[in-house]
Amino acid sequence: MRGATFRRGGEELVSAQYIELEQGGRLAHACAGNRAAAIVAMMAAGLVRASGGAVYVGAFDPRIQPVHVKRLAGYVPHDALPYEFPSFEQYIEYRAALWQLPQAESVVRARHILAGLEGIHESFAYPLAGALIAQPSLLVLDRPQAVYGRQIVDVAKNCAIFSTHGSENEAARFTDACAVRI
Amino acid sequence: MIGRSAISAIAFTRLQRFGGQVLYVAAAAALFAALQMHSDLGAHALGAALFGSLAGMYFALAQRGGRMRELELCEQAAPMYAREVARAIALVPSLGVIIALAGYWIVTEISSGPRALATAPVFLSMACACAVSVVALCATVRAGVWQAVYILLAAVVATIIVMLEYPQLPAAFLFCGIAGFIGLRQYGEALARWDPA
Repeated sequence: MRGATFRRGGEELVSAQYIELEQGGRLAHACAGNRAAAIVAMMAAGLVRASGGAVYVGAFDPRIQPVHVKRLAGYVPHDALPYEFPSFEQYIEYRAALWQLPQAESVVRARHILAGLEGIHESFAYPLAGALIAQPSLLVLDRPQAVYGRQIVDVAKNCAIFSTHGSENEAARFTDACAVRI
Repeated sequence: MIGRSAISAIAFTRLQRFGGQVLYVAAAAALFAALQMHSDLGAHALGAALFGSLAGMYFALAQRGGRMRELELCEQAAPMYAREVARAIALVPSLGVIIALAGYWIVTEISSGPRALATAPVFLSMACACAVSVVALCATVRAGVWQAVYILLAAVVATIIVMLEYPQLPAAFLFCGIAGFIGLRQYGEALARWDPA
């Protein structure tokens, strides 16, 4: 991110962000608040376009090539989302269809990832497994809990991890938990 | 092997969540048709088009926020163009109103006795409801005054189609097609600019 900002209705919700993350790198980024953290995570995953400045994921600009960016990035939201799929397998099949992945292979891969996330609440573990089945180059986590840090790093393997946090303390706790640099 | 397409996955997952509501609306449509038992075909055609339009607007407006947030985030994060997501979401209210209006016309057919129903009003009511629901979808990616404008526009589309139906049936079908096509393009473009923040 090179001076990336986000404005809505004349109000600057995210001030200029200067972030660089190399391939396979890990970064816990502290933002001004929870709302800013959510927006920065969405900007990094190509879901939200920056109002000012520039964002590049790999060689792609989400404003011009959002689909390419979304192929590279896996996004895991913060909210404990209502889980209404009848089973984990159906959730993975749904995600596999959206990402145009082979369904049976995706289910097997997702079960393997889920086994590495034992003990993590399903409202976070399922979206995380869902994001990792597409084997993204960048995993974007919106305010992940520090207690899950070590397991997240283990299942992500060599994928770059970018996490946003609502405060310096939370970013530091996540860093301590999984030994990522700030 | 690649499984089902992204468009069918989005449409059927959303439709599954709406299954109960679609059945309620279909039951209401059937009840409405039963209440119109002694009316002529013109009144049935008008009733079906207006009921279908209202149902279409309801299904369209229910496509965003609330219970759909989890699906919305998945769809937004997926490597798909906005126009593809727009087509998939547009299928949901369209299929919902077709099911509801099927209930309406089945009851009308049963209650009309030996008189055979004309097929044109049946298909026109469905085409009208689909066009209105696609226009109403544009309101879901807007806020404030523009949201109200698109809801009003959907109501205007329904009124024009109903007014065209009797003197100009082919024109009514043509208007449905044009309104639906422009509505879908608009929705796709608005969805491309829309952000979930």
